[in-house]
This record gives sequence, structure tokens and C-alpha cells, in this order.
Amino acid sequence: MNFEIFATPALVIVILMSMLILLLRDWRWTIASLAIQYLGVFLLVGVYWPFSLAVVKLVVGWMSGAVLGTTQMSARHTHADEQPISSVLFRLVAAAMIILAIFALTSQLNQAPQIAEISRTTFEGSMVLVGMGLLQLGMTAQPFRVVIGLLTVLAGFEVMYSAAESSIMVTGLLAGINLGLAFLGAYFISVVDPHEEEQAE
Amino acid sequence: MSAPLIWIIIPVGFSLLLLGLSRFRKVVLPVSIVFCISMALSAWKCPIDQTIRISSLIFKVDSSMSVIGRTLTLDSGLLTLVIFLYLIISVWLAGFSLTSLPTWMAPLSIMMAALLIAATAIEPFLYAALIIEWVVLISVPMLAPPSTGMHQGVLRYLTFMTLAMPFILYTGWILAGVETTPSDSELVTRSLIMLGLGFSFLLALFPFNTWVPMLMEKSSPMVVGLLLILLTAVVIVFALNFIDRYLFMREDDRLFMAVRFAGLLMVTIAGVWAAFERHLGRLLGYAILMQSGLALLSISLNTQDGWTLLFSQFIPRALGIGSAALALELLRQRTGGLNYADVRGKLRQLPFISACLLFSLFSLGGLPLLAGYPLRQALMEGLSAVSGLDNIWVLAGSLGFLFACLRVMANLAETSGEEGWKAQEKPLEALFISGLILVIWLVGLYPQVFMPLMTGLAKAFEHLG
Repeated sequence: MNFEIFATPALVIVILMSMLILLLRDWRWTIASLAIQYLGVFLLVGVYWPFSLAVVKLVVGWMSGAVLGTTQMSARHTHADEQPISSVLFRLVAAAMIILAIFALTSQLNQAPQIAEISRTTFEGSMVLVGMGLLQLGMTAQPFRVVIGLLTVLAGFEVMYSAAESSIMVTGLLAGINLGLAFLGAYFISVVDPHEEEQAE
Repeated sequence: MSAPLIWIIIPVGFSLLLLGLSRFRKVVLPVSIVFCISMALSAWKCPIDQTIRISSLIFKVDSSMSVIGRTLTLDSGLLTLVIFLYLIISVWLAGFSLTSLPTWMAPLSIMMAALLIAATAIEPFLYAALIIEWVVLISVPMLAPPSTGMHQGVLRYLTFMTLAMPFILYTGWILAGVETTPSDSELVTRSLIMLGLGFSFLLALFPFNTWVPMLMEKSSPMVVGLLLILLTAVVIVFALNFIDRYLFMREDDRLFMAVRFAGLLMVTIAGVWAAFERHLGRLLGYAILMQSGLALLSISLNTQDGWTLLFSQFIPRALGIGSAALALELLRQRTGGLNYADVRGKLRQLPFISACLLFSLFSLGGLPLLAGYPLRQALMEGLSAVSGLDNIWVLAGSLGFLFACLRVMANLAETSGEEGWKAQEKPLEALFISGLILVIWLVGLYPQVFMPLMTGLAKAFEHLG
């Protein structure tokens, strides 16, 4: 199956979804965006990997989302946080700047011999995920959002690394790490001190 | 039978079994200790890749084992590390039995040791980054057990450790290009920067070190202490694999200058901050950062003596951090906190624990006649051959830390004048702690006996040994 034709739609998906994850405060929308984001990751990885291996990324991503979602559902504080419009605008501008910087710098960044072998679309998708994940990590100390940020950074790295490595062992270890992060996120949500959580945001 | 099966797969399986039996503390702890000692003993005595005859039984322990298309290899050099890790775990478990920490942490510690051994054994060695991340994930519930809850230090630890992995794997990928075009200086610089960032996260180097004091303040000092002893030892071995493997790294002076600068920064900053600290847990955190700085300074020498110093530091470092962590854990259980105000005047009530804390902190600070001193002196001699100015910074950091130790001592010894001596420790605690103090003292008095124990690790590296 040729995934090359899906690369550009996948890039659009990861840009939109990673922005939504950053902007939306309702965990339900965040999980839904994460799930769709992993669809984009799957399509980008599928350019280099066979379908049967690439689908692992999708399944693991969705499982991670499911683990986080079910824990949030049973957590005590499941309401959407109220956020002032200035906060949303600030995150929107920050995200836009990250994306613009990535598109502007991509041509210079992917000049290393190995990275030059990656298609520009894949590289941009990867960098957008890494950038947005790091932005998310820098903007929150809330366990749920930190784990989402880490999953996003890792997804971005995995997209790029898929061009270099397609061994089953690495895929398995990375899948284990993604799931482990999701389980830790669930664990954090269940043991977090509500006062600390309020301060974290 | 193969070495990875004996020292990696079986311990992981065994720890899973013990995890299921966590309710039975009186069974799990002794069995775990005996198991770890037997692992260390077998690694010490068992010859690799040679036929072994025990009465009519003849067998051979292969150094390699294939797992999903990749190889795990434990040669005789790495067995030194195996012995070290399992001995550390067995002593830690013995100390653990004196505390009230949850029993499930014991099997998890064995699993962590086994996985860290796998990280050093896996080929290609780059994949160690993935296995180290697994260890990080396993360690998080130990750092934030349900009884204490999650705190920001744990989140920061998880974040920084997770960010390290992509940097290192990405570097490995770039390095493949450097091997084919070693003249491409931009590529070399880029790979060194990425690698430096990856290991800065893993070794908690400045400015990514903030989680160490935070963890030491909020989590169990024993758990954090163990984690940092094991992780740092394995990450150093992992880092040396890069230097051993790539000729351009061994010959690039910029790399060793950067490592020296990072080491000096760590030693100085940790020492100065320690002098102003008012929490014993955080103080130990700074001691650990200082030790990481000293390890970097040994690496920066890039000489045979430097590598020997680096490996020899493993024992006094583990001894100092482990003993201090145990003393802090026992203090915390009795006082409820580790602020200086919480432990004021405890020397007369808890003399063994207080003495253990002071001996181990002074040893980490490099006080003469204690375990940390001989190598500190040797390191400063080595540094003076490169640049005498560097020693001023090492001295400044050491003095700052020793000043902090004196503050701790004054605080513990403070008294209204009417209180008498009344030891409240249990006999077993007093005995175990006395043993640790004795070892710290003996290692300082007879370094020629203890220091060569770890130098066998150099055999694991083709170009560094």
C-alpha cells in the first residue's frame, strides 16, 4: 500500500490536532484530538514502514488514549477548566510561531545526509509534533497534560525515526514506552493531590 | 545456557514472581537478598564462554543471546558491573528491611537492576536508551507511591529522562553518517551537541538538574539514592560506549573540554548551593550532583588514569550515597521531616543514624581518611596536569559542601545542655549502620584494596582499557 499520497493530509492532521490539544482544556476533546493525531502519525510512518508494522503506532496511540480517557472518566475532577480568552490567544500565537518557525527552518534542518533522505512532508510533520509537544510541556505542570505532551514529542520522534529504523524490537520497545507513559499518566491522575493539580495549571 | 539468561531474564522473571508475593514481607525481603547475593557471587565465579564441569555435569555459559533479532552480550568486563549492581541491590535491600517502605519496591529494584544490565548488554548499544527509559517508567511508582502521591519533582524527572531518549537515538543515526564522512565538521559538531544534550538529561547535568533536589525532598531518599546510584553507573558506561566506539570522539579535544567545563560547573554549583541548603534530602541531592561532576572530570582527563579513576569512583560513591540515604530514611521515619529544624539535637537520641549520616556526607565531601578522599586527591592531581585553575573550582565546591556538612553536624549536636545520651535505635539498626560506617572508614584507609575492584570494567571497552 502506497502511503506517499497520504503524507500531505497526514501533515495537515498532525498540525490541526496538535494545535487543538494545546488549545482545548476539556479532556474529552484532548483525547479525541490525540486519537486523530495518531491517525496522522500512522499515515506518516506508513510512508516508510509496511502497513502491518505502521499500524502498531495507531493501535498503541489509541490504546494510550483509551487508558488516559478511562482514568479521567473515573477521576473526581472531570470538568473542563475555565480559561480566559487571553490564555487561548497566547497559546494560539505560540503554536503558530512554532509552526511557522518549523516551516521556515525545515530546509536548513534536514541537510544531514540521513535526514535528507526523509521526505520534506514527513520531516515537517515530525518537527511539528516535537515542537508542539515541547510547547505543551513548557506550558503546564498538570500530569495529564504533561503525559499528552510527552506522547506528542515521542510521536514526532517516532515519525522521523521510522525512516531510519524498522526493527521489530525497537518498535516493540517504543510501543512499550508509549503505553507505559499512558499508564503512568493514569496513575498520576489517580494519586494526584487536588491542591497540587490546581496550582500546576 | 547464556549469561544474559542468568543475569537478565531470570532476575526479571524472579522479580515478577516476588511482585505477586509482596504481601509476605518476611518472605520476600530475605529471599530477594539471598537471590541478589547469589547473582553477584555467580557473576564473580562463573567463567564465560568456557566449559564448566561440576562432578558429572558439563555445561558452558555463552556470553551472547539473541532476542528478537538483536543480541544481548555480557562479557567478562561487563560482569564486573553485574557484580556491582547486584551487590548494591542486596545491601540496599538489607537496609530496606529496616525501613517501613512498601514491600513491592524490593522486586521492582531487582527488575531495575536486571534491565539496566540489559541496557549495557544490548547490541547495537544505542538501544540502551530505550531500555533506560523502561527503567525510568518502572521507577516512577517507587518515587511517587500512592501513600505520598505525585509531585512536581517526579513529573520533571519523567519529562527530562524521556526527552533524553530521542536525542540519543537521533545522535546514533547521525553518527552513522559521520562514520562515512568524518571530515564533515558540521555534522560532527551537530552530533556532539545532540549527544551532549541527551546525556545532560540522563545525568541531570546543569541546567537539567533541578529534579534531583526536588525528588530528594519529596520522595523516599532511599529510593532516589538507589535509582541515582544505578542509573548514573549505567549511563556512564553507556556514554563510554560512544567514546570507545567512535575514534573522532576520542580525538576531539572540544568534547573533553566541554565535559570538563560541565564537570567543574556541577561540582562548583552543587557545592555552593549545598552550603546554603536547609533540607537534608536536598543536601544529599546536591552531593549526588557533585559526584556526577567528579565523574565528568575523570572522563575529561581522557587518559588511562582517568578511566581507572572513573571506575574506581563507583564504590565510594555508592557507599556514600547509599549510607546517607538510609540514614535520611530512618531519620525521616522518626522525625517526620528532614528540614534542619526537624533533626535539631537528634545526635543524642539517634547517635548511630546521625553518625552514619555525618560519615557518609563527609565522605561524599572528600574529607581525608574517608572513602571519598583518595580518589578526590587522585583526580585533583590528574586535573593539575591539565590546568591548575580547575582545581580551584573543585576545591571551592568541596569546601562549600564540607561547610554544609559542618552545619549539619552542628545542627544535629545542638543541645540545651541538660539532655543525656539515650540511643533509640534498634540493635539491628545500630549493627547494620555501624557496619556501613566501618566500611566507609576502611575504604578510606585502604584504598589500594577496594579501588581496583571496579577496574575490571575497563575490559568492556576496547580502546579505553
